[in-house]
Amino acid sequence: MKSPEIILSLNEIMFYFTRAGVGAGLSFGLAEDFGRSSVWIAANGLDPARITSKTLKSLDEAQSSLCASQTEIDAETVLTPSGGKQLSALFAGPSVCDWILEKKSCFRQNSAFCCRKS
Amino acid sequence: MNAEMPEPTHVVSKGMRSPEKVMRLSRMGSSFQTRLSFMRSLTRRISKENWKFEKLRFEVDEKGYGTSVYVVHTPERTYSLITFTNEIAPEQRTDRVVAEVWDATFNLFDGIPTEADIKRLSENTPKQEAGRFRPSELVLARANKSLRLFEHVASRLSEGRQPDIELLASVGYLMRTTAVYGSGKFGCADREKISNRSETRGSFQVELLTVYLFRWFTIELVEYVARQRGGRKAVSLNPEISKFLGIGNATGLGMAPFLIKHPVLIHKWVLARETALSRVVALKSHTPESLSLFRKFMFQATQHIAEWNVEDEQQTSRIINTREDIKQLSNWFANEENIKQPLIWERILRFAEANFSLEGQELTVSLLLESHGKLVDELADDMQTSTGIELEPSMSLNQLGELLQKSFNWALEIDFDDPEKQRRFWYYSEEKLEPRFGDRYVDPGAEQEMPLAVGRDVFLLNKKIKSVTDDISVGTFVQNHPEFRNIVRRVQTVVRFPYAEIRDNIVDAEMRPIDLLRFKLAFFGASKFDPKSELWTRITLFQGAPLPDQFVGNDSDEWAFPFCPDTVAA
Repeated sequence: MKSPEIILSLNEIMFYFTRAGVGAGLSFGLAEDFGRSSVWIAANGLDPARITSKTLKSLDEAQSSLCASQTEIDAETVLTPSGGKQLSALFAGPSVCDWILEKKSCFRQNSAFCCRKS
Repeated sequence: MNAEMPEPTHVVSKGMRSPEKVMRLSRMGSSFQTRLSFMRSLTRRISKENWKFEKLRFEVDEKGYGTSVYVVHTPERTYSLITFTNEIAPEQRTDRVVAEVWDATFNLFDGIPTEADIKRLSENTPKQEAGRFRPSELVLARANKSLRLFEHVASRLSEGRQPDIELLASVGYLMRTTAVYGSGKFGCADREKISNRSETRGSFQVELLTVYLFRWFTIELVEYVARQRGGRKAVSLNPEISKFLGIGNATGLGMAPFLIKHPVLIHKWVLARETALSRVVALKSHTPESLSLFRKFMFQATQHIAEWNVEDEQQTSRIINTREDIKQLSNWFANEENIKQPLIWERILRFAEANFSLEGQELTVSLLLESHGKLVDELADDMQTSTGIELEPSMSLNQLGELLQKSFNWALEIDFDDPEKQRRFWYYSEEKLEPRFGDRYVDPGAEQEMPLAVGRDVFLLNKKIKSVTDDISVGTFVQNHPEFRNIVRRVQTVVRFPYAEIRDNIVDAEMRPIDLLRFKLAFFGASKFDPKSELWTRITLFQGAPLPDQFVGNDSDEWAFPFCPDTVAA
């Protein structure tokens, strides 16, 4: 991660991004996932601050939600945020990863996971 | 829910001490260094691989202030210690983390620095946390002089005399570090950069190499200052005395959360030590050589502990008990009947467990390992890990509940509804981002508690699981209750690593962080623990270790339990 003044180590990215997540309202577990994702982004040569600042800001300003209900209809799993808000990417990301891990042994053809506002 | 339970790792064999016994704070806080400790494995490697040391630059004035570069060449790479020494006013000298100036500031540099590197570091290293570093720097650290001893040694050497040995023994070091930062701190290289190198893959090897090189530097510095003062009259330190000088270290709470945040690593450390112990006590017969080694180290330990004096009343009383314990061990060993029987090492351990204080027992463990290097040393190569803490969302909630009952009984038995059972909390200070230990009912900031209270979080998780009637997946559970996400994945991971968890409540009103510090520092190889409160301790690092020009012969690894050179003569 680069700016004109400073290059953060991956360890620093993990530290600061995890705390930024907690500060924006994530539980520590989700914030750790956010930190790890940010490290992955940086390790691949991209700037995680630029990529993630929007979603952090949206959560911090209560524009997006960390609450959702999940329904499964046939091969489609739908995550619907509550309160008419957008679903935060910081919640949707880990949810879809968990879903893939959970379903990997019993994947059906055309299985799909989507986030949809009600 | 078709997922299978995770395969437990059956690593605690019948002959090994159980996690329930070993991973308790009281015993962890009684730890001693062993030959598997990280300083010991470093000096073994230096000796075995014949590392070459070189003083590349020593540009300091007559008072010892300036810039130095000390280099070590390993078979594959070169590392440089770049040190800046400065004059500071006595009132500015403090060991607290909040200090702004230090007698010496230094980096371990990956390779040999260019002039541009040295210039850049001269503008950053003296500022420490306020400076900025690059991945070429592996470690950042600073140290203060023991003014009393440094001045005494410089003065005596300048007059052509050796220092007063009693004064030297009472301090033990010329300088003490107040922080040693690695692993990506302030822009330094991440652990990943060095984790696959044979010489640095072990735990804390670059940090300890830095301290080792710095110790060499402090001895050269005091001799140089003495020569500037005394001219031709000045002498160098007697090699036995210089060997007895270590590096002091003041360690506070910064180290404690590390142990909780790296459970799999801690498992690997303890597993290595306990495997080593089980190998030794399983030996049915013993050799004259192993008996002789045990006797030798028992003598060294007796002397070492006789010289271990601290102001702290509780630690003083523990030291007195340990002196009694080792006297008993010595008497046991002097009885020919005891030595004639088979399984002598197991009987020694059982005797210690039945009769000694916890410190005496852990000292005995250290002695048992010390006399069996060939049998146990290779275990030091497997005291690190790349295993992360991962969630298994396909597990059923019922299975998770079963794991809790099976592996976290120690936590479920604590009544966390009692306010005293969670009086304390861990948080980061705003000023230095350093861990602190607060009182939940007195200090502000409990809402920003660090997630380190594993026992309490397991207790709450268990309660929540019991309130869920459907057998849903863990993935669904953490989606509905994201506040449990981190403790769930921790539980799912550490059940395969039995020595991973500290089986005590670390937010209890009576909890002593010093126990965590001693456990970790013993694994580093530290000795002479000198607690200054329940929150921090002074220690000595590398006392007795060979200096770069002293790695000769087979005894370069036999520096455990150092004692004052004068005692040798006596």
